[in-house]
Amino acid sequence: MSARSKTTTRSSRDFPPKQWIVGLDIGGTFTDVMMVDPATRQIVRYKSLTTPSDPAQGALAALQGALQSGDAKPGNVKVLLHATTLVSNALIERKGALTALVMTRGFRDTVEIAREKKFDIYDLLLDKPQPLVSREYRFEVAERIAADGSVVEPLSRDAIAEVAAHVRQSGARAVAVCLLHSYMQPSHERMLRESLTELLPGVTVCVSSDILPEMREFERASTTSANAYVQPLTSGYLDRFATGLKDMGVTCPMFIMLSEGAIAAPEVVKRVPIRICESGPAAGAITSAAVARQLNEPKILSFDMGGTTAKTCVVHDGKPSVTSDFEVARIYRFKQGSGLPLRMPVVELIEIGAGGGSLVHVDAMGLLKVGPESASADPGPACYGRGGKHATVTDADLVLGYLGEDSFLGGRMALDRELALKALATDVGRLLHIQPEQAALGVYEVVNENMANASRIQAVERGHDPAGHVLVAFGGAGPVHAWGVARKLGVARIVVPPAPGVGSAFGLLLAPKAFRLARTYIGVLEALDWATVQRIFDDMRGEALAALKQAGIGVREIAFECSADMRYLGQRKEINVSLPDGKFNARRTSSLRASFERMYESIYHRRHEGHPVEALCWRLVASGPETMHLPKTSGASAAKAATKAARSSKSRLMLFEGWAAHRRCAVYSRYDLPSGSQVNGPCVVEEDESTTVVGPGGSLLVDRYGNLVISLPALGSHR
Amino acid sequence: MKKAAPAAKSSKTVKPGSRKSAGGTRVVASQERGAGTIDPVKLEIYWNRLISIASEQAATMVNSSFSAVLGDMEDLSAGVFDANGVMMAQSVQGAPGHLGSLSAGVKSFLAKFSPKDIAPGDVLITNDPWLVSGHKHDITVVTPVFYRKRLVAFTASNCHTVDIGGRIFSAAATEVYEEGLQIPRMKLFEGGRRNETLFSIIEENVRSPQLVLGDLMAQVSANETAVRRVAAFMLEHDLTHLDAISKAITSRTARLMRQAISRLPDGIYSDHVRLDGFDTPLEIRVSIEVRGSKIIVDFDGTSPQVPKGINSVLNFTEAFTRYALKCLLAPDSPNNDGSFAPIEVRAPHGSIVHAKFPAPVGGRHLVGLYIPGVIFGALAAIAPARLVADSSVLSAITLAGQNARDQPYVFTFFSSGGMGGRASKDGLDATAFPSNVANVPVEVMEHATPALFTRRELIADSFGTGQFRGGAGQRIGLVLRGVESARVSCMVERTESAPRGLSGGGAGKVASVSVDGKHIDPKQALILTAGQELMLETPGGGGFGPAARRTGTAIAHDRSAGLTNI
Repeated sequence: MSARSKTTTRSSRDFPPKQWIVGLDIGGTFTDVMMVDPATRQIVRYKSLTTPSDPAQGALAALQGALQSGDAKPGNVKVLLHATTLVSNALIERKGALTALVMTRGFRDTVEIAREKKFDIYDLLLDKPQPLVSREYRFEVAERIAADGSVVEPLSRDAIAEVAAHVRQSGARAVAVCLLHSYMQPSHERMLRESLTELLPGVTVCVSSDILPEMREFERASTTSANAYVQPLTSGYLDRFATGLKDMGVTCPMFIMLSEGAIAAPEVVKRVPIRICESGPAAGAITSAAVARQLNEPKILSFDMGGTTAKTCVVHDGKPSVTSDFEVARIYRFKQGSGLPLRMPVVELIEIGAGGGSLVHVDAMGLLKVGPESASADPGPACYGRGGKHATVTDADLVLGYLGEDSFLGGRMALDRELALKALATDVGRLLHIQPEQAALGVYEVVNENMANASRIQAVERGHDPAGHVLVAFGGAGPVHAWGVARKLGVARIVVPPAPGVGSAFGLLLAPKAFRLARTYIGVLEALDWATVQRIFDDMRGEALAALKQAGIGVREIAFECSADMRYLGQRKEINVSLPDGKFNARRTSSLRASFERMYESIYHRRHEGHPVEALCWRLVASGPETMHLPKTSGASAAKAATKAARSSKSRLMLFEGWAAHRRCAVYSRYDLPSGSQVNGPCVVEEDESTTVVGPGGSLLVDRYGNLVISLPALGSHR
Repeated sequence: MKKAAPAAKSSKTVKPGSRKSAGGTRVVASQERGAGTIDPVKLEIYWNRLISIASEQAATMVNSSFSAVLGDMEDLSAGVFDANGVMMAQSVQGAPGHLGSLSAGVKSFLAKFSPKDIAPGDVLITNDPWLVSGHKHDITVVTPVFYRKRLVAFTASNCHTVDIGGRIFSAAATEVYEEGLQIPRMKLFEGGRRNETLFSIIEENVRSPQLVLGDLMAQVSANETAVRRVAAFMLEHDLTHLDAISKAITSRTARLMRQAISRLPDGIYSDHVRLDGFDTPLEIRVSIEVRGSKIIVDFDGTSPQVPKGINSVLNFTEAFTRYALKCLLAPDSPNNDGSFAPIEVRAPHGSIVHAKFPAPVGGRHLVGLYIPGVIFGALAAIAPARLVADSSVLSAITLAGQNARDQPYVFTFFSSGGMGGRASKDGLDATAFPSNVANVPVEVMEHATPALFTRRELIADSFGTGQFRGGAGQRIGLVLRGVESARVSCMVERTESAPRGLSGGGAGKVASVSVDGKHIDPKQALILTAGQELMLETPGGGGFGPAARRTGTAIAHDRSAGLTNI
């Protein structure tokens, strides 16, 4: 089934032919499409259910639907930007390929022994994350390279043949290779890459020096294994999707959102699929960053709640921060260290198992719990009437009257309140001896608390009080729950951007076309060969130019940012120092040292006078212009728009915290609320892909860009 | 609110351990004024903020460190203290022995320096084993926080340093004087000015001055980061002092601990464990008295101290005693001085768990890490849900000498064996417990030393059998490359005293150190020469419950993984 969406037509001209920019985001539950023709500013939104068995099918169907609803020709799609949860789902659900791992003789347990420490010193019953490759699929190969890169024991043909036989016998479909010191000397890994590819037809081969040429064998092996594990799946998916696009007549270039918020061509992604692990969430963070810039808000909490998970991200000064310390598939929700380490650049966010489809249950201690298990798209929440028997967050939202039985997804999908009540009664009411309506309130409260905690931890980790932030809410369920989350955080204002239900697809359109490239070349500043540095930057520049040209961007539109990761010689962690563009030569040594020391001092408050400084990694970001701009304003002028009280056309019974029973409250359609409209809570504002809840004491204003801006009553007035 | 929750370690009755006058270090928050006036929602925000400041402090230390012991092993702790030296928050990252003794360390500074002796820009330092965490390799740095010209808090950190002079890191000393440079409680910085005299004394006494001083500055920077965060936090919330918050935090924590203790049946519970010992075996004896909401842990009967560097000072013994009890009774709540309040620790002065100056103490963890096991053993009957059978004791190997480029190096790596089997789960394989020191990547060690590692692998059948088996130990081998020889110092325990099983589980396999297959003294230094292979096997954890109850699936799983061949 699919649910269609509205086309906002601002111009009906057919000539000149439209040039559609399409954003397509596959989430855990829904696949969202948002397409725009920049010349006419015509926008089409479309949403349909994800098809987990083959997401390419659902993606193609969604695109087809969007094209039809916008009356657009496939040939007029100029560029397709894509985000998908494929990779993270495969890692979380352990549904990747059967993978083998080859390591230097004596070290196959590296991924099992890991770093030996516990992520919680007091929890005696904790589990450690299981490696993706279990012991019987981990093989050793006779070879050895020393720390200086010299060969201690050469890799023989026999050794290669032996390990190839082991892998073949194991039946693995993918193999990761991680040899000691391969970041210094990749020759053995390259030999294995060539030979295994030849000896094991049909088996994916990934070697660590290609994926992550960095010291520390456990993290490198973990990252390489994860890459091999998801590679067959990703490759197959991208091929099927490309074929489908061609069959449909869509022949434009496609780019995929990387976890760090930049984009890359499918060929790159096929080689290093783990770089799209956080593809969708990164796109969501970009939406919030765009809203932050539009409203000139320096402190934003991005809150994206979909069908299976919620993601929160702190956006300060219009930029989400990017980190390389990332873990996927944490087994304990909030605990750092309980996931598999991936050393890849990623937008810094927290993801928890709390979405509209999250299942509700009562645990052994009689406590009401929500998630992280999800009813996903199939069978979905009980109220979908598609065979789901268990209560979910969506069922609670329906019982509370926040969602309408006949207005979900713009009325294309009827929800069954009776089924929701029944499920809540069975899963919660009966066990806790409460009415299903009270159970629904409890579910709303508990899931909001979980999400508020995640936001709080992230804000606090950076030393900020969440209360000083503006909550930007999107995702199908985000605007439904933002009210409750904001109250728990003490946030005074919520902003719901237009089309929140397709927030990540929106972000895809807003993402600047950027490519991030990096090369490792290690040396103490005084001893660097500057010709090598220059060559590195020339290479990267050439590569980026070619890629951006393919994306239809002219040379003059491209901005370059150069930087280097530097540290005091021997130090644990490097810091990224930006370098002015221009020629690199020995004359820059002292200015490089000065830039590093300034940066170092701002972080660590001191310098190590006279201590040698080394550079490790050289980076280039090449970005084209943003595909679409959101208009800018100062915070005050948006509020100054003339306000007019809007009238509701509908109403229904709703239940809010502190009320004994349901009361009749107003229901507005977002499409009937022009800029400047003002409404007071309790009420809801419905649109096709989402519903915004405004509780008692709250008020909502539509600003001049169509954002819904909700003001909350001061904390304490409802406590 | 309840009355009088002593926020600090008021209940500690035995602390004559130091030759320094430790008197006056007691900080007893006898009244709970103000604790009840903080809005619980606000308190939660304050509390989380203080914990995140301490965690950021630890992360800053790791990120700006120069050595692997700090950067990779994370043998450290960090905490935020109120103006009276009461610990309000500690870092999430860290080692229990450090975390548990840092609080005593900060209070010892207050015994020497009165508030009027402390000025903005001061940074205090010591490595006195009796005042903080039990050996000279741990350097403690304390930085005062001034807000609106008033001393309002301290930030403190404690890290294992690469070298402190004297013998290389070992258990072979007969007196503490052999174990290197001792830095009394003094100022490393005074009013922002470096104490150049002290810096040069350190520089000339240690083997890798660049690493030692680099790490020391990482501590100074990390404390400074936390100092700025505390001041910003107070400004943001318009606080003039932290005393009320401190009282609220510690009294709530103490109350939770008392409630957990109250649920245990009153009585006296005891256990004892045999250590490897030297010429004669050594023993730790414990009797734990549960009385209402209080616990008294008495180590009476424990062996007298020995002229070998394994003796534990009382601070370190207390740290692991409290750690074990917190794990059993209140693992979910954040740690601070409040959790110590209901626990009293007594130990005979001059014993291996309460060493008397000038006993050698370099390898005090070889005794201290037995303590959680013996406490779990004693409480087996009354606190069954979270019990753990005996675990390994962290092994350390130190390599020192001149590398191929004729530069001096010294490098210690720690390795864990198996955690004991648990009441409902297998023990974790090759995982640090009760310590929480991480390993060093082989690639990092090979950059820092002339060692070439030959293996790091789990040892099949090294664990105690049981319904829930112990964790497997690991085998680590190395040879030298590019040099003729190296000095090797071993600190390996449980080569004779196998980790015991619990509730019918079998014992884990003992540890061993060998050169070319021949066992060597596990607590001695030796010269390793080119061509010889040094091999360390860490112990497996004890099993939990009778092996007959182990499920077929679990057995099959171990077989197919090659972890058991029986």
